Amino acid sequence: MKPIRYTIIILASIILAWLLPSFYHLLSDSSGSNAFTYYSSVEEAFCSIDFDEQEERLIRYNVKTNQRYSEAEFDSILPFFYYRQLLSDGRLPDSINGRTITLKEVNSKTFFYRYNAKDKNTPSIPIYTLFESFSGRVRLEMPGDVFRLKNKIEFINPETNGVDKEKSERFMRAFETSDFQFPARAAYGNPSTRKPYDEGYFIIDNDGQIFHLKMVNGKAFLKNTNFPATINPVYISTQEPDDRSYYAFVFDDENNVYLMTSDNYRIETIPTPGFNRDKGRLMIMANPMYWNVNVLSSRGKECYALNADTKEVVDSLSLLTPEEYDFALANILPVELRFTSGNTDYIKPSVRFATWWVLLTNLILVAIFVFIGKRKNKPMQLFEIVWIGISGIFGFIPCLIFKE
Amino acid sequence: MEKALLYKEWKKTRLFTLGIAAVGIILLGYIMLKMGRSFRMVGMEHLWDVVVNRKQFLFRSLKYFPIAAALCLGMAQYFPEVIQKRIKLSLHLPLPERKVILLMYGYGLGILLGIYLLQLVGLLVFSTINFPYEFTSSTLKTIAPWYMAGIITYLFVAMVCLEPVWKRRAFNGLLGIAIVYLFFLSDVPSAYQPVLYILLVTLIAVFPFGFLSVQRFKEGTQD
Amino acid sequence: MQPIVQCKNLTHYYGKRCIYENLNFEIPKGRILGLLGKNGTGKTTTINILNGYLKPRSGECLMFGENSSNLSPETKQKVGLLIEGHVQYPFMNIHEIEKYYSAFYPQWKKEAYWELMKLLKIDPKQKLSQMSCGQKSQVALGLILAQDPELLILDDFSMGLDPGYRVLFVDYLSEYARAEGKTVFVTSHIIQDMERLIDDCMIMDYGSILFQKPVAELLQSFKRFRFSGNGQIFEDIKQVIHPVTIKGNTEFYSFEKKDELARILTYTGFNPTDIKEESLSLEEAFIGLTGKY
Repeated sequence: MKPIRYTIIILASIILAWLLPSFYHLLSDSSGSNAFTYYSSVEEAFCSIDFDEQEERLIRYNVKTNQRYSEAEFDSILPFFYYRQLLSDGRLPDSINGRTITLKEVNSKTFFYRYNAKDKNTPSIPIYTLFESFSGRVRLEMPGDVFRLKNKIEFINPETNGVDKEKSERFMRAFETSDFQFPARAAYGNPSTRKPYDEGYFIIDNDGQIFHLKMVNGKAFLKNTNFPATINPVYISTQEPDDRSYYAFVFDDENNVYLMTSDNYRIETIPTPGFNRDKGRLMIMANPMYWNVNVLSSRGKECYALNADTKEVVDSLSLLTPEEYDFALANILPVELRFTSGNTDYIKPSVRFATWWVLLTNLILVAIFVFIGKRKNKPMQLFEIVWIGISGIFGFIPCLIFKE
Repeated sequence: MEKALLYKEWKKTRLFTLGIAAVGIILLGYIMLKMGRSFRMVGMEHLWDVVVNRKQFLFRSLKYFPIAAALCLGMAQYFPEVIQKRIKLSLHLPLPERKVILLMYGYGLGILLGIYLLQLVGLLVFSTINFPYEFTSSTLKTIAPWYMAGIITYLFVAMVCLEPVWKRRAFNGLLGIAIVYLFFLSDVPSAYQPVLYILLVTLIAVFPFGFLSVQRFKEGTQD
Repeated sequence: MQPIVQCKNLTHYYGKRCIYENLNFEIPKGRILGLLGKNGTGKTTTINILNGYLKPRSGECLMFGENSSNLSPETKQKVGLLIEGHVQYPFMNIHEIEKYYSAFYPQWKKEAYWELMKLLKIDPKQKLSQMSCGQKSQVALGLILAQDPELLILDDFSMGLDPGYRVLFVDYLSEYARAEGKTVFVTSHIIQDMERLIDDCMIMDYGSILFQKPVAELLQSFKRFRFSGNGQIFEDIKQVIHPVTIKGNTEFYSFEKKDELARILTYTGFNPTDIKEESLSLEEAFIGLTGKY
């Protein structure tokens, strides 16, 4: 019966290592700073909107010079971000710092892109919808079939749940005549009719090559993008931007981010120092002159202003806060066990360890446990003592509850 | 003797067993009918699209059935044994005590697994006919934690009921609730895929817990 | 001959409350032993230890030479157990429950059970849950009789029974046990019933066994005495048990003969002339021994 009791104690300790810290967070967590930051093409400096704790209101200011702005001033400092406001006020400038700008250019070169580790780390069913890219219709229409792609491509008709042999063979021939290496690792597209046009799928094959698959007039369009062999792509975020200037953002296994342009699949490196594709988020706010790249993590964000044409970093701003020291998390709770995370849709255990000082707490708890046992004239309980030494408070509680 | 003991378990839980089985089948039938209606109303293509691209799970109504079934069956089986400490009668039978408890466990788990299996087979057939195997595989990965939680619930009901001390019962119950909760942390289909084996290990670890309760009952533990 | 049950140095506490310390007793084969005691003296505790439903703080109980905390199936087969309140399975009817138990006992005596069932006015389909307490007690007894065990342990068999059923139960049991030479261990809080049934009685008081003797021997030697006058001065005389004086009349109990008693009392300087000796029923003897309070 001893092993059963030990199992109960261990299991209860694990449960406590999960629940106690999460309850603690519920009690103690406070929200961090959440400043909005954007690179001003007028001032050529980062400008920010933040909540001022002393004045208890939002303040708008230039991060470099600390100059404050009114709301209307701020609009004109960030003309690309507030261009709709400026347009409606009739204040949109013709040129900024000597560079002529047109409304058309602002409209087509301004976009937002967000990446969340959750986009990549999510379970998905490997069934894909391939639209007709050249239907001649303004609206995209559901194609009436889906495909699967592993060791071959196969089109399935949802109404019958049967394979469309003819179409499958037609597309398979396109794969066979290319240098595509089966099995395919993954395919990335936007299977939605709510987009202006369709660029189909970008597929990573078994060799890490990226292929572009589309359906044009019912025929297969499959093209090797000749992605550099030195780069190992792990995730592709296919975009269908209004100006058709690029196809996708490609993420490699070294946390680099690339833009795959529509100029014959030429790739451009987007500098994102400190980015982690599995643990962080990325936000790109682009305008005709600068790309604002925000690399976000649990510790805050780092902002980079890139030259829109060369993608070179022209300015950067770090808004990282040092890891907050929390007495209980560092010294009392030996570990923090989590099963869910904002970075993934999967349930996965992750453990965060406290500092070595927690061993002192554990030792004190062992002493208390031994003292209680002595007072009740219990024999020495070796398992309990060792387990409390290891698991501290998480083992201490179940050892008291599930006593012999 | 073994057969007689199973006969007693059957007499005791007959109504509940049949009730749970009926609810399980009706629930599955209801899901199928509802889905058949969706096929006709919005078409299969749309339904597939919703499943793949919007991560809708078509069999969500099954979510709490396994634990509810386990709770009912476990209570039906062990609650009468606790009233007036009737379990003494079974423990007094000329059979090794461990065997008596194992037979009771075996009966309950057998019935429960039977009902689960009935449902799963229905589900698999339905899914294979209407959907590609990718859906079926995702479905299995999604519902596996629910059914495992059902079995764990059963084991904890046994452990809690057979435990002689009220205070310890409450703690056992709390532990059970926390562990079962662990199986319902996400609504995303297939979210448990990487940890299914951990859930299985947990299930195996929980299996003998009831024996400790019986041991404590035998020793007449009072606190 | 080895006794059927041997309890050696039993000590048990509930928390800090001592039930008894170093309790020793034996049940010889073929005797009907009644365990008498007020509520809370540890009757059910003893029965529980005997059947392995309670681990004593120290000491051990042997049944058929086997430690009671870990009885083998063979030994359990030889022990018939009636749990306090005639607990059985309420979801079965008398046919089902007979069929159920018959599977466990190779020498099952079906007739013994049905003979008793015939006396009950119950519908064969009627579940135990729909029976009266008395009917349930007969079912529980019938099952034990059919099991044909060597040792019968009956915990508070008279609980909740009408007088008629109590008599039926006692008559049936005593006739059966004497005819078959069974060993029986019973507890009951209605001592009248016991007198008709038991050979030996064991009287428990808080923390100990007062004594264990054949009932006949007890009733022959233990008497009540009355006289007029104040009896407070007897408090220190160990032969005088539980003296009570009400309105100038005193009664007390003693194991001594009347003459001997008169002699002892004379030593104290008291010379009662009107001592009356009275024979007792078992119940009266029990009260005399354990006190009214």
